[in-house]
Amino acid sequence: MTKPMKKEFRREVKASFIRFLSIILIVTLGTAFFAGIKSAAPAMRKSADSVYDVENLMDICVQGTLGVTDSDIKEIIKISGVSGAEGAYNGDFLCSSDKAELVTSVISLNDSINIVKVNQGRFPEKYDECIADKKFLDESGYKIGDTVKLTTGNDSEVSETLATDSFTIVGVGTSSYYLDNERGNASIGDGTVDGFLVVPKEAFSLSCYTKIFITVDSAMALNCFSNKYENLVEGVESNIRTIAETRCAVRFDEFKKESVDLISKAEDKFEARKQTVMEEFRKSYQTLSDNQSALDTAQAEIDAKKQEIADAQEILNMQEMTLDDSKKQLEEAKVTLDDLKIRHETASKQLEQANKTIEKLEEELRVNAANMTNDEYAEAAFTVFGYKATAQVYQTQLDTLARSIQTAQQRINDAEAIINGSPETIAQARQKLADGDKEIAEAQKNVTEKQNQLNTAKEEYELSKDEIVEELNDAEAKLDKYKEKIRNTEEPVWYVTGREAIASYASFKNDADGISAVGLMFPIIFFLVAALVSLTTMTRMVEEQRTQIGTFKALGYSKFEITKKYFLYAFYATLAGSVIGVVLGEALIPRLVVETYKVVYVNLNKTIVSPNLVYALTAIVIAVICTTGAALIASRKYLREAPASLMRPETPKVGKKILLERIDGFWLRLNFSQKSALRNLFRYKKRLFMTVFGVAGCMALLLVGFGIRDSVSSMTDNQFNKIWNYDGTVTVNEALTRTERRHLLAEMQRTPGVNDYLQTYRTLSYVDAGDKENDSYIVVPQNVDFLGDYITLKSRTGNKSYTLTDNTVLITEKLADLLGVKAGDKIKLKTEKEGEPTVEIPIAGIVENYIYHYVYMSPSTYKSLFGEAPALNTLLLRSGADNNGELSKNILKIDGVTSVTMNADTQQQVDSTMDKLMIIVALMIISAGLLAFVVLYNLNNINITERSRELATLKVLGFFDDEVEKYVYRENIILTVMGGIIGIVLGIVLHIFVMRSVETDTMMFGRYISWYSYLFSIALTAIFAVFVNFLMSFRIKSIDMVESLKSVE
Amino acid sequence: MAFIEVRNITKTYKTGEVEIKALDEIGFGIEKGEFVVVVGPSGAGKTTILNILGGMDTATSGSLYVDNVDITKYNEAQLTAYRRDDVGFVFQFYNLVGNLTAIENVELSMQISKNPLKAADVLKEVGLSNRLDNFPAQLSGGEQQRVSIARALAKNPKLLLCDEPTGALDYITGKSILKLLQDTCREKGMTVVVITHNSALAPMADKVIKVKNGRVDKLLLNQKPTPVEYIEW
Repeated sequence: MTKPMKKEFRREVKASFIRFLSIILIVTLGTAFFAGIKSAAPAMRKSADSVYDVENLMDICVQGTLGVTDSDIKEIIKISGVSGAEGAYNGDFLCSSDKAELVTSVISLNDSINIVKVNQGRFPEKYDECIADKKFLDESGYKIGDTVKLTTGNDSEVSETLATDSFTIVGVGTSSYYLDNERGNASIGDGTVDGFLVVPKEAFSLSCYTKIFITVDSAMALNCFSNKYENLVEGVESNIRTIAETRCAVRFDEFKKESVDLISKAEDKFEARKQTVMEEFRKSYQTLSDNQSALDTAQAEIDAKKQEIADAQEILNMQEMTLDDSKKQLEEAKVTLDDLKIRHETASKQLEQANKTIEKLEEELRVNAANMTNDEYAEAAFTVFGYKATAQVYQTQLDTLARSIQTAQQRINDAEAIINGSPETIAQARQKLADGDKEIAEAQKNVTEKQNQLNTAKEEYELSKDEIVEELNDAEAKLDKYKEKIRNTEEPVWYVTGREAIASYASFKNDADGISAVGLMFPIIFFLVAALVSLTTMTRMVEEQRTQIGTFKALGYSKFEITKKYFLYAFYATLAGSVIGVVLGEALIPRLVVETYKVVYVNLNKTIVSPNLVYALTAIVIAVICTTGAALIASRKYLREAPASLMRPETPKVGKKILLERIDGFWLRLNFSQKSALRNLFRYKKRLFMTVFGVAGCMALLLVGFGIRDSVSSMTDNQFNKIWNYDGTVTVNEALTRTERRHLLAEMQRTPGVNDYLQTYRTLSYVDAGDKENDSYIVVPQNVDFLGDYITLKSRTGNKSYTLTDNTVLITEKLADLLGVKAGDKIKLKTEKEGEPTVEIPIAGIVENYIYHYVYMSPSTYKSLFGEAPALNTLLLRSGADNNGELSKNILKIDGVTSVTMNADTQQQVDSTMDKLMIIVALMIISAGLLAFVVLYNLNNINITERSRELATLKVLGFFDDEVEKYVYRENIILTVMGGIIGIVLGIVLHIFVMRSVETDTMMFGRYISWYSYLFSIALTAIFAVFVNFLMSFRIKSIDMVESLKSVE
Repeated sequence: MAFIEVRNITKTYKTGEVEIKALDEIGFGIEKGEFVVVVGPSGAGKTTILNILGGMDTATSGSLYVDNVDITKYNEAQLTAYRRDDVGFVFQFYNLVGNLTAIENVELSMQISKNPLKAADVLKEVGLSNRLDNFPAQLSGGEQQRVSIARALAKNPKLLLCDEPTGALDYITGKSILKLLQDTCREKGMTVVVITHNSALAPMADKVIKVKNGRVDKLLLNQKPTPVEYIEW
């Protein structure tokens, strides 16, 4: 470049700085999105991987059905590729707090693998101390320092697994094993684990480990989401599987030896218990009977006393009777006495009379004796004698009476003495009797009370006797069962799983893949737009400088030198823009994405955003090539022309009649601006293409964004409400006896909330369709006729309904998709169970299904394929219960039920995982808005600049501003509508592509976009377009009419 | 009062600290049906006069009466209405809409005017009856300028303003365009104002306004204007 040209270049940049800046900005945006979104998934993966590495998360986990032992660990360590192995314990328990009953997973504190991080407090130092999960603390309300008490939630005992049932919380910890807030499932409580406790290994009383965690050599250096890692770990996994059988056999031998011990231990325990119980029983019986005899003695004493009192009473009564008699006699005696006295008186008087008469007679006699004859004398003397005899009688009578009176008096005196003395004695005797009565009553009361107490004790004793008998019987039954179980224990198997078995790892991987899928397509749209917009801008610039190019040419500058200016202009702007864009995009977007996902993955405590040079350089190189290429193409056109013609104004483009004009009536009806608008569309093809492309891109992005949400929500809605018509799945121990099963079914029927159920057999199988294979569940209903009530079997598109027919199967859509099979094809099935044959069967139909894969077959088909009738291991449940938690708890209590999964819970879980997709939706809507804005603003700007002369002329001709705007907008509206329509088509296609990329092998999303998503997308696109046009109206207003007077450049 | 009365119009442009007086107390009158030529060297203020007469710009001070109405008092919308109803413009570079045919370009202005003439008739009058459906790019410069004149005439304006109408044309074509303008003035009684730097055109006008440094230098009245055919330059 010559010096003046350099100067000119600098001034050009300065003068057209807005244009320079607009290229920078567009390129910034394009490259930022490209590099940023592309780096987002790697950043997510790297962040999680680093969290895993810090805690040395296991690469492989080995679980044995009979546990795993130290010698297993020794053998595993020897395997090539294994860098470390550590045994671990775990178990699920219930833990109650004021707030809730929680299902708690108790895991052992490991030394080197799956290390737990303590965020608060300290590590446990004693066997009864633990670290608690933050989620556990949140949900239970416990805090550091509290002691938690665990129960088993079933008929086993805590002591079978743990050395203590209460633990003191000494710290709060997190584990990368649980990145999100899901804690998995359990077979107790409501079936969902709510949190975990980490306890020292000494806290477990198990004889062998439940798991062995294994790390793989040099796996830590790899990103655990990479294929390299997967291949490496899978290799080691299969190495481990090779020793599995031997180790299982060894373990089984051990177990058999152990089992003898175990059984005798259990028997001893039972016997000891029985002894204790019997002894207690005997003792309490003794006490009772002792008490009874004491009471009986007391009662006898009381009875004797009672008798005594009764006797005394009798005597008393007799005494009283005598007294009464005496009194009566006394009265009689008194009467007799009185009578006697009266008679005595009378007799005395008569005697006195007689005596007087005698005296008188004697006197007369003596006096008269002389005068009297003898006869007379004798007679008189005789009369006196007579009188004297009578007096003698009277005297005798009187003496007798006096004696009688004396006797009577004596008697009366005696009687009176008796009568006067007895009342006191009787009263005393009565008092004594009353006292005796009282004493006896009290004694009786006492005895009665005691008797009552004793009776209660006796009743209790009877009851406890029943209970103890029952308990002993139960214990014996349990013992028998245990013995049976141990005797029936089959040879153990090992489950060797990688990290994909960790739920949060799998879902995180899934999310990162989702972002990756987005990064596949959308940045390219942005990039393309950026390239096209800068192409238009550069073309415009070169066109504007036509005369200058001519002048330089005329002055003798070479094509190369002239082109250099435009090349460098584009180059510098693009370089600046793409470097800024790459730096900003790679720094901000992955961080934003990771930070957003942290809301869900709460334990993802790191954000590792490392510059991705490949994406950065790709973005910069492509951007530079696009814009400088555009500059070269634009300038080449003019460089071919002669300088003279360049200095003349450009011959205006010839207007062309368009096809529409051939339609007679139509064209005549249009006014000039409609005609002009239509012709302009076809005249400025580049602009047409770009506007349409931009708007279509915007529309498509919006539609995909909303469509993802629709598809996902329609998926869960379809799966849980339209396809699965049942409410829950109850898994049942397959090995139940006929009686046990009958008992279980009866219990099910009795459980409140259970409406009805369908017995099914479900088993995992490998489905092979020649070149492709996949895992799937075989589902065999007990009764084919009822299956339709529980699972809707129909095709997704044709709404064709299916029923199970013999010797064919129905398979689910995604499975058919993955295997590449259709109705009529044959598939091979191999179940998980060892020894079962691989069978081949034709497909009768493909049914709609979104989650997991299923192969449905009738029981008779199953029997003819596998030679035996399907067992029962799964009940599909229809419930009318409001409280699922309560229902699951009740069902889990039934013997033989191993787990309960309620569909509503699963749906909620799936829905919440799907909510994470909203991040993608938001990202798309923002992108769409930016895209629409950038494209429309830029193109409108160019459009108006290019046509400013035409618009100025219209103004001079007396067009009002709004008329001028309408003239311009008409084109925009047509283009926007065209873009919108193309965008809808593009969006539908893209949506299918995205849904396919986002969905995993075990899930199929709907391909459904709801009408209001269309509406929203259209409305938003319109709003973006209107907004840009609104901004443009200011530019139109500011066009100077004097522009029209200037010469054409 | 004259049909168009320019009274003491001053137009000042401010560029930073510097004030430039494009028009300095300018004043003249134009009668109805007059053919007026405003002539002067570059930078004399011709275009400013055109802008103010055409309602494209406002005066800093002074007043402009058109048909007894003071245009300088008009607001933006009234000025637009004035342009669409009362003024016909003929541009130096024709300013046709490239995407519209000749007749459509004429219709363009008719569409917004109150009392338009028939497009085909006007084009016939300017001698383009056989080029109605051609696009501007298919027409010669003179033909394009005729379309431009037709577009201005079609809306039946009170005033036809022509800015260097021959500036981009060759001699002969330029002459024929001037003839068309003169004829229009004579035959239709149209008031025509032609702005040019070419003083040779002065004799064809009824009134010649010579502008110099933003002032009216000379105002000449030709009692007998020379027909264009006899003017040579």
